Amino acid sequence: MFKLGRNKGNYPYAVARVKGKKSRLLTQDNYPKLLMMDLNEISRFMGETQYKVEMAELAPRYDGVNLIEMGTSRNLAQTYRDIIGFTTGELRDIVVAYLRRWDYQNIKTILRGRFSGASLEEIQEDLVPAGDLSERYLISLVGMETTEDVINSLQNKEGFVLPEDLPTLMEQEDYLPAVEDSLDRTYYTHLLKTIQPKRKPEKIFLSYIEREIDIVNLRTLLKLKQAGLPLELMKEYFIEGGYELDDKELERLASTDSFETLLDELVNLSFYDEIRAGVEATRQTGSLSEIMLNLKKWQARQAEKFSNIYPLSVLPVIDFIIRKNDEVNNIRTIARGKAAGMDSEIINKLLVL
Amino acid sequence: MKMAPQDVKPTRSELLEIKKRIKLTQSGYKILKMKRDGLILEFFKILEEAKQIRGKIQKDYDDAMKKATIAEAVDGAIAVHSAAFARRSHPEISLRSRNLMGIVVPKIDATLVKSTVDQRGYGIIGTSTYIDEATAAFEKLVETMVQAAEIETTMKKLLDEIEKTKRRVNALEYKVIPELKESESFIQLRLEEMERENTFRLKRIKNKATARAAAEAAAAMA
Repeated sequence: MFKLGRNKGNYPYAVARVKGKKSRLLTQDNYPKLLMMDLNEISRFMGETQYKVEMAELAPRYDGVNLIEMGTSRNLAQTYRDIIGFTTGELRDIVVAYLRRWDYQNIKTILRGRFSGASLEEIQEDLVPAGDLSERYLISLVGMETTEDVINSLQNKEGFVLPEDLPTLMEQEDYLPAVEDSLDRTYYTHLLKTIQPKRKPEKIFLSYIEREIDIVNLRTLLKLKQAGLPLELMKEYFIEGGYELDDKELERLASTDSFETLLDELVNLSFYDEIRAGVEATRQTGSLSEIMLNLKKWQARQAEKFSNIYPLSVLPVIDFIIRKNDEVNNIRTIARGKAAGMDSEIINKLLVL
Repeated sequence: MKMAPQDVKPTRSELLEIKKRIKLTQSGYKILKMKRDGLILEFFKILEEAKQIRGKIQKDYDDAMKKATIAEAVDGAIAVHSAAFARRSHPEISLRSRNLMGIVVPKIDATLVKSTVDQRGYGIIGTSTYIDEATAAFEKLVETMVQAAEIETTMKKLLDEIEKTKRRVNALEYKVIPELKESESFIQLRLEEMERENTFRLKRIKNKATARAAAEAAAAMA
């Protein structure tokens, strides 16, 4: 069982370190410049920023857009692991619980790779050790003989929570989707448990995570409703603990007559204005991506709001973690978009700034 | 086998045989010509379908690549590769055959191509809509490609058959029928000539006999 640290944590030190790191993030005016550069210029630009060490390390193995993606994700992993390293106590527990999403993602990648018979090198290449589990440990998991060995090893890993129903799920023939969903559910359940809303900053952070759960649930609901799945099946996929969309509301929305009626019902959501354009686009094209992009941008704005209000709390640290992730995503979006010959305007629309 | 008109026996029975063969060949020629025209009509119909499906493949391919690029851009190639690992079921193709104007053409059915979000092998909760949409676009592309494979194979087989039939029609029109007709006229001419020779011979025999009879009569008189 997960235990909270004995002390509250080294907030002043951690926040000072994070501030230093934050100052090295790309500024808003860097993005228009990046959008005007070609791929080689972007690579060169990245080599002059905080990403230079990783870019230089990976240059012999990768080039072009792959070098940019691998370099930025390795830098992201290193940055997050640094934060885990210099935080202590309760602060570290919250940071670790938040960054566990990368651990669960890596476990999913390992399970998927083993399931499909991918080579060890292929699986290793797709790991981003940005969570609490070290790269060395993840590589050892990749090299294990059976999936049961992987699960046993994770069960014995201190502080790492696996779903209680995992052994039952693993007995199914096509266990992967159920296991993945269960891992995602466990991540949020555990994260909600870890955040103790005793003080205002933790309360704000808790509501941010609850909003994130709302977004995940809304995405699941829209996907499943569009696919025409029955209510009973849909219910299994919702995560408890949302801010606005509780079980009852989700069931009510899920039981609407059709996907179009569901889109009509979204007007009652408090954040409908944020996704109005996306909903209209979905009505016309049937694509959910626009709504998801609207939600992502809204989520980024939410994080920005709490970044400066409590300087000596978990919020500046979490804000940096979110900003860093957004930065890496934005750089990758620009690089991949440029490599594919996408129009700068379309790339710009996909950025979360 | 090629037979020069001179090789033909100039007999009445051969003439009758050749006349029968000419009749048969001409009716076969007419049928083959009709078949060729029918095949060409069918080919143009299929060609139109093939053009449409080619256009659809291009459109679906562009759409799938665009969605995959966006998924790779927004979620990262790592996340896209990871999701691709999860897919273990492969589309199954079953091949049957059907008859189209005497040609055996394939009927291709594909199963396990399209899937709903809960059948794709990866979790629903944690997978982005970009990856979902890229998956759906590629499933659609595979389905279109299977349809195109059926149409294009049918078109290829039709083309082969048209070519074969065209060669047969041409062979009948420009080779077999003219040769048979040549043989027919050769036999007719030969028979007529033989008849003329025979008449001449008979006349000469008759003249000889008449001359001999006259000579004998003169001798008897003397």
